[in-house]
Amino acid sequence: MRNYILTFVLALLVVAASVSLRRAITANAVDVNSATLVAIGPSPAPIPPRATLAIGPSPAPIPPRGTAAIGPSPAPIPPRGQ
Amino acid sequence: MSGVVASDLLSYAGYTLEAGLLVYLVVRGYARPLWELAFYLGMSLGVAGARTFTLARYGLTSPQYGNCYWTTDLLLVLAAFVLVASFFRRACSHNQEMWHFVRLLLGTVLIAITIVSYFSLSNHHGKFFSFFIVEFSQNLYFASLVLTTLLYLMTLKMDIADERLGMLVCGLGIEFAGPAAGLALIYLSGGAEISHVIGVYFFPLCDIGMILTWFYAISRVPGPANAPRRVVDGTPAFARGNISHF
Repeated sequence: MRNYILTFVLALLVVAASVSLRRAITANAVDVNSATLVAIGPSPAPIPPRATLAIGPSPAPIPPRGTAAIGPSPAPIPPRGQ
Repeated sequence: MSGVVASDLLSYAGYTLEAGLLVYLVVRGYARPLWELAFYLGMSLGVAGARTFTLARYGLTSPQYGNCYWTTDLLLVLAAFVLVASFFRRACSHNQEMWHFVRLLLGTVLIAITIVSYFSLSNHHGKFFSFFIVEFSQNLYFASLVLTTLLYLMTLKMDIADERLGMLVCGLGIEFAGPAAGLALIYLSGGAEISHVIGVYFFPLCDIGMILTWFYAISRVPGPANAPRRVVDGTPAFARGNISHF
């Protein structure tokens, strides 16, 4: 029983550490205006995407934040110039 | 060399290395024993193919590419989580009781990440699908990063004889921790120049670093079947002097 409790506590610690680490690094991700700080030069889309991490070498598009959406939703609005 | 050209070159180098490693696994007969690597590489190449097709057809800023990218990113992060879980399985291959608890840990983490991602949507429930995919992918990415660190510490602590597993975990650590460190540096510096350098050069190099580390681990580092067995001397040290070798 004690091992199950320890496992559960460890799982919660892992999740808490993951979410905290993400929030610490990507604190500005929700703020579109400050998120333009990490936009890349004159290229059409930020490289890397604003405060998001992805696996693989493919170039990343603009993440769906604010009015952006995946699927049948309206097209993402680039943060640049806002 | 412009950043776009450099980014394209590094991207194509990453694809080529991934394809080369997958072919190497199949040709040399490692695809079955290292099925999780073949699965991850196959998934990554499939995702790259879908993204390349969408990118060429619709363009970088198109919603179609955005849909394709973030949907396939979810698949890729889930594949990476399966990879981490299978590495845990290998590390616990001689300890079934440990694997029982690790399995419970991984399942609990996955469920907790799903719940946290759902509640972090707060007032964006109208865009559940789009926001949930990104939230879930990002949270699972960082959870995989933390789990990879735990796995590496576990391989050190348990003194696992499989050196190849240690190298494979190191490669995965490069893939997870490298971009996280780069993003932290961007956040700390707050400058566009360093984010340009990191985005164009560092992130693709992390992917290439992982593939090269895996290549080295598979081709050069002996696996558990080929690893030299440790000679265990059952005789106490204080009694060795009294043993006759004749």
